[in-house]
Amino acid sequence: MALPKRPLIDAVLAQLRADTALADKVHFGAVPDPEHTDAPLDPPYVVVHADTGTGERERLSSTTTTRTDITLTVQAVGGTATQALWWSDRAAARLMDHRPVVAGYTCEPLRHTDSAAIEQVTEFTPTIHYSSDDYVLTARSA
Amino acid sequence: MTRFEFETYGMDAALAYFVRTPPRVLSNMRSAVEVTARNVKDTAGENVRAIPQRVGPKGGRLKPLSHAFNYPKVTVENNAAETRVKANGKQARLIGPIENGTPHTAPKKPLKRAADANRADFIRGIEKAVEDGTS
Repeated sequence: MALPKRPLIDAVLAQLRADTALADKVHFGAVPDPEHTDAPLDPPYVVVHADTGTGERERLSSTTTTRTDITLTVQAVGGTATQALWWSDRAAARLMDHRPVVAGYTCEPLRHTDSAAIEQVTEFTPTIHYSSDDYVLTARSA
Repeated sequence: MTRFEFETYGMDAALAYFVRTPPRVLSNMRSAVEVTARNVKDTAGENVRAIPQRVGPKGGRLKPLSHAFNYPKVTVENNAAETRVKANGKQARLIGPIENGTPHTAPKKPLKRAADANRADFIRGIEKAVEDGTS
């Protein structure tokens, strides 16, 4: 049985946007880059990439997928590394250990599983710096 | 009167054996780690070659990156064997954006997926290393 991921991802996005400072700055999926658009996005903003999860049957004898693990990569973008770090902390305050409430699912608290050094992209104008944090959402059918 | 005594010499010797890892286990562990590192390196290269689109700020192709993964000599210190698989050379600058994505491109995670794909085989390798080293 398929476990729809959209309500789970929507719940995480809603949790981020519940912070008024983040409300209009959260984008799901890659944002257009300045080389290919006349309207580049000026920092700061937050980008959320999500995979479509991995399904698991938690019992050897089971024929039903009951668990899914979704990895969300949250990138905070700033004009400077310090600004990127500030927005990364803001997003982490909303997500770390947060337990989403989604109809039809029992969710575990979000786990922060990985991060990377803050990167700089100088090929575009404006130059941006971005942090990268991975959070894993584990959900089971209720 | 009843007399009895308990000699611990044999127990001390047995305990000393168990708390000191037999040298053959360490040698086998080094081999197991090296085999896994080689597999992860190869899998990471395959994962990069499987990425279908141009990525990177200037749309650079990724084939040179797929050949840039390698690992240093396995070190054994304090009863632990360790190495790291990473991208080397000029292509190394691409691995961050490919592995973690950018605001303009989704993460592909070729290294993490390579490590995940080889985890079960690594565990089997360590089990065999210990079994062969203690038999």
